[in-house]
Amino acid sequence: MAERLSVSDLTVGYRRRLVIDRLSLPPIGGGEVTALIGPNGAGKSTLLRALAGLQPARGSVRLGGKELLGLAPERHAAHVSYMPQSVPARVALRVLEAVISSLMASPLPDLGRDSAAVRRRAMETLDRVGIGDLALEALDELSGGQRQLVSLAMSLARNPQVLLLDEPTSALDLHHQFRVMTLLSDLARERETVTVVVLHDLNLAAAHADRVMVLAGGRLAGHGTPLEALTADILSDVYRVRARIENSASGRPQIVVEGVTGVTAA
Amino acid sequence: MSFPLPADHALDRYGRVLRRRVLVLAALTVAVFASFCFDLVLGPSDLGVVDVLAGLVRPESLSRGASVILWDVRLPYSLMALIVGAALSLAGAEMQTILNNPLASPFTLGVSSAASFGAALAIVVGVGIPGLPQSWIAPANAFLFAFLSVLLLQALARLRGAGVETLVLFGIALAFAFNALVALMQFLASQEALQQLVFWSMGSLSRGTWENLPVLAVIVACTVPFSLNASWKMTVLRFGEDRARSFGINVPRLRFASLLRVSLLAATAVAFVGTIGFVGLVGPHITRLLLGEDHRFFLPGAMLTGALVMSLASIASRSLVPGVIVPVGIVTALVGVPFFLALILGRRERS
Ligand SMILES: Nc1ncnc2c1ncn2[C@@H]1O[C@H](COP(=O)(O)OP(=O)(O)OP(=O)(O)O)[C@@H](O)[C@H]1O
Ligand SMILES: [Mg+2]
Repeated sequence: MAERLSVSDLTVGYRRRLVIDRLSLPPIGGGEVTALIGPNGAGKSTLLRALAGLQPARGSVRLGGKELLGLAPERHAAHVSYMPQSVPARVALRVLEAVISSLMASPLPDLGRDSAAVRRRAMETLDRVGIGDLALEALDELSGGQRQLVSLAMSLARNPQVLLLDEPTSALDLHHQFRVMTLLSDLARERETVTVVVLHDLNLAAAHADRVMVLAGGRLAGHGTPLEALTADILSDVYRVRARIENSASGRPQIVVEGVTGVTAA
Repeated sequence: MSFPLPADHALDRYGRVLRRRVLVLAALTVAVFASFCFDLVLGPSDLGVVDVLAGLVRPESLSRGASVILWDVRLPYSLMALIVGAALSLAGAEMQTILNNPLASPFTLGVSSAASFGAALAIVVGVGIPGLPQSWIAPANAFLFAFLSVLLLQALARLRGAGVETLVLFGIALAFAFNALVALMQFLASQEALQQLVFWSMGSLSRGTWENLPVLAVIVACTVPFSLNASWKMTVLRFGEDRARSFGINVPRLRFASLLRVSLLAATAVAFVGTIGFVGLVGPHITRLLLGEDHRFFLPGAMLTGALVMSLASIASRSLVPGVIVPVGIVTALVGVPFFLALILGRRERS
């Protein structure tokens, strides 16, 4: 049985600003892809960082029966893998080395420090992400999108139970967007991973996510299947746009933005 | 199947990359040794290569005078060059990684300013740790202040959450404060003390003796295993603090441990030979160009490169002006810059 991630009463903030106040989420299932969407500044990255154990938080984040909040960093990292929103800096390493280093940073229960196995796993991950041919390239000579794919591979390689990705497709072309989203669905099903992906492209979310959660102002503004969560009303409330929802034959909604609504009271 | 799969092919090529790096390390080691030997042979009195090598193995084969020159003058000087170069370059490499700044050096956070102040206290006012022999008071003070300044820095950074920017800002503030204090001392100092102080702060290998050399060697030998042990963590830190923490690395602790090592190395080096700035900045850069940033290779590579640069500087310091030993702190930059430029230009051409 796939473990589920349950978030309840989560409070996260920065020095002078409370961003998320007692947020509870419906259980996030393993084996499916959950898209986290919402406008700029909604608190998506903050929420993800808290789930990744990078931001001090109060409340409860349980994986199956296990409480994750307050776990020692190394124990936490054995369950959870996180991909930051920013594309990694230009580091003087090869692509393959970057992935190897992410496997060697802290010991993984299923891999240890056997260097042949580590190298094989790193190479497999690059192949699955579709950048096996870049393995020996220097990281500081790649394009922004290519570096984002490397960053994704670094997170995927650890084969976590919980995968938290902050805008993994923001720098990618159409081909790679599609490919990455399909890969995430496949991996989620194969490994029963809890997969939470922050996305700004609602049509990408609609086409590939199993569930959608809409975050606005640190609160949950809607959730459910793409059809349930991506309604004209919610989009109007949250994004201040006039949107038309078209139902495609696949049963996935298509969002067409027709204009923005006037400045609201906020 | 005889045709290799693409994945195996990539792994093979990576294996070759690793072997090439081992070769580079070996070549650096040979270069360091060659430079060291040349450094020993060089000098006004005509000791040939054969004499020197024989004298190293069997000191009694040399005349009394030649033996003194080799063992008490040249050997400490040349060995000091190697050890100081390795220590400062290693410290610089760690500093650049933990501060995520390629312009950082062991002295970025004010270690050398603090050391200078400590030395100034000893030389100008005569304040020092009681019970030490006269010749050790200035170095001991320099070390003490350099080390305390790092602890103070860490305590300040703790108050504010230990971000890198905060650390650097506090470091700069500390450096300015200590520089001002040193300037004040200089202003108040007698002519004689002033001269002594200026000479002290001009890095010179002539202060290498059989007493202080082992101290530095032991400190290097004790810190290196810890550095190497942290090499994967340091490599991952290059991808940013968030990334490293998400892999389960306790970044503040990693950074503090590294800072302690850096200050130990830099403070000891400054205490014994004064401020030799350039090698801690440029050694890591040269290494990065040669070996990349896999810290398993980067850190030892930085030590070898640093030792090589300093050894070449040591040669230059004694051959630049015939019959005069120019303080090596002055020479390092003169030797290092062309070397460095050549590497940067060579890299441009390839890409
Ligand atoms: N380091 C920080 N210090 C203080 N406030 C912050 C910090 N980072 C984010 N915030 C604030 O927290 C709120 C949520 O930011 P967050 O980055 O979580 O938004 P987001 O939903 O990821 O937005 P985007 O879509 O632009 O990435 C914003 O109001 C932002 O100003
Ligand atoms: Mg964000």
